[in-house]
Amino acid sequence: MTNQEQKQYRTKLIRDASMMQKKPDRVPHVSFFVTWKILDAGYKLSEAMNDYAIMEKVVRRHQEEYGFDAIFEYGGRNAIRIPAALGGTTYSINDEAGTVNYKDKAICEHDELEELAADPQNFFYEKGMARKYPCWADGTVTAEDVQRAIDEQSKFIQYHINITRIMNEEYGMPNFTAPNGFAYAGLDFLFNTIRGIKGLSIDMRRDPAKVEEAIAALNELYFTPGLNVLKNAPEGPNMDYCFDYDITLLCHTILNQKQFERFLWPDLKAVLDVLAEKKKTLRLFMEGSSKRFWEYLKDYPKGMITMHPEQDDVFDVRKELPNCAILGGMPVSLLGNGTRQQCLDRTKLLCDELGKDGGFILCQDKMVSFRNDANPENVHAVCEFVREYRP
Amino acid sequence: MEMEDKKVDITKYPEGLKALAAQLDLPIPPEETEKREAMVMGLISSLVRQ
Repeated sequence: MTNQEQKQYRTKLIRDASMMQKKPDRVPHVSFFVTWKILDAGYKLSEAMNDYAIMEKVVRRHQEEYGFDAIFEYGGRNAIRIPAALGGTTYSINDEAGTVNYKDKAICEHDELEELAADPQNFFYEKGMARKYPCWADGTVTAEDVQRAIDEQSKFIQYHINITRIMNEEYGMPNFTAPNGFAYAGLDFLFNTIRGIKGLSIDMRRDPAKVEEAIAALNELYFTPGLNVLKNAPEGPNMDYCFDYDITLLCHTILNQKQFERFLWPDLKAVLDVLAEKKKTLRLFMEGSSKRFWEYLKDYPKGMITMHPEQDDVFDVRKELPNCAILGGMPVSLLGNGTRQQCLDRTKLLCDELGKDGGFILCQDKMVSFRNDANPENVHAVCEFVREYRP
Repeated sequence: MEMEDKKVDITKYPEGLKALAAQLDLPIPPEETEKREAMVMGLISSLVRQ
């Protein structure tokens, strides 16, 4: 097979599995390996994350070693060079331990929610930046510093364009998600960056109306434009890509049902409804556990949603969401601590039980980050097995 | 921090944003002020989210 044919074959494998209209030739296998692949290649995290030439070698080697059908992350998960241009210290790399730590710092106080809602851009520009970057707070930042950040952002974007082309042309790798916009739900933004876990939990209890106002203001800038891009996309799936849309959610993990319905579901539903109307597909990665919200997904068309659960059991997903394809199933704990045979037994079970009629894509259950998350021998064994096995 | 002779504090909104958009080397023609400001604000939003 040529690389172009390989790319088409792999795209079709994943499309057939996810859209649940026909059984794919075999179970596809997707890589969710993030910083682990840097360590597996023998580099330090600080080396690869600061040098795009090294990161390119890491990504190439990852595919040469293991031969996945798609790779979710090409080295862009932690774009540390951009904030570093302004002296940002959000990321802290420990090369000895092989870890990247992220300083979770809320940029908005509870009593500033109204100020945020009144003008989010003003708030981010003055207070948000000052709380993240000491040079902004003390006024020592220069235009040259900002120019460096702009230049680093351009280099990051260029790296992504290059590595995507390389993986397409030289390795026959498919493109994962079609460019259909990105609608960043206000609650997600509040959770991830603006108020954080503790702050948002308090806000929702104490001042739910202010949370709604903040969501509305953030949505006007960061959600609605992305949703409009999706609304204006052509109808039907874009078969040059594995999926038409991608959502990763963590904020649901702190919500009870009432909070989910009030603060998150309206925005999530808006996106899902457009995807349904346009007959497009979605990979939905719900971190933590999402089982208590699955009822909201039951009535969407079969094959529209591919669920990628983190803590929830994939067999429960199949039972309770028969309309959804599944991406996942391989516990990182098993890849790291299990025997080769245990990993193979798990892979065969998943293929036989979930993949015999299609609707299943093998993947790791979480972002594979730390050295001990996976034993390379186990990864090799699983990759070789799933490439040959026909359930 | 002030910029050149215009004495603009680039950490202030919106004057700092406008000043940066005018001065920085961006892949957008100088006359397209709105797009240039959107690009700089996009960077700021991204930096805040890091």
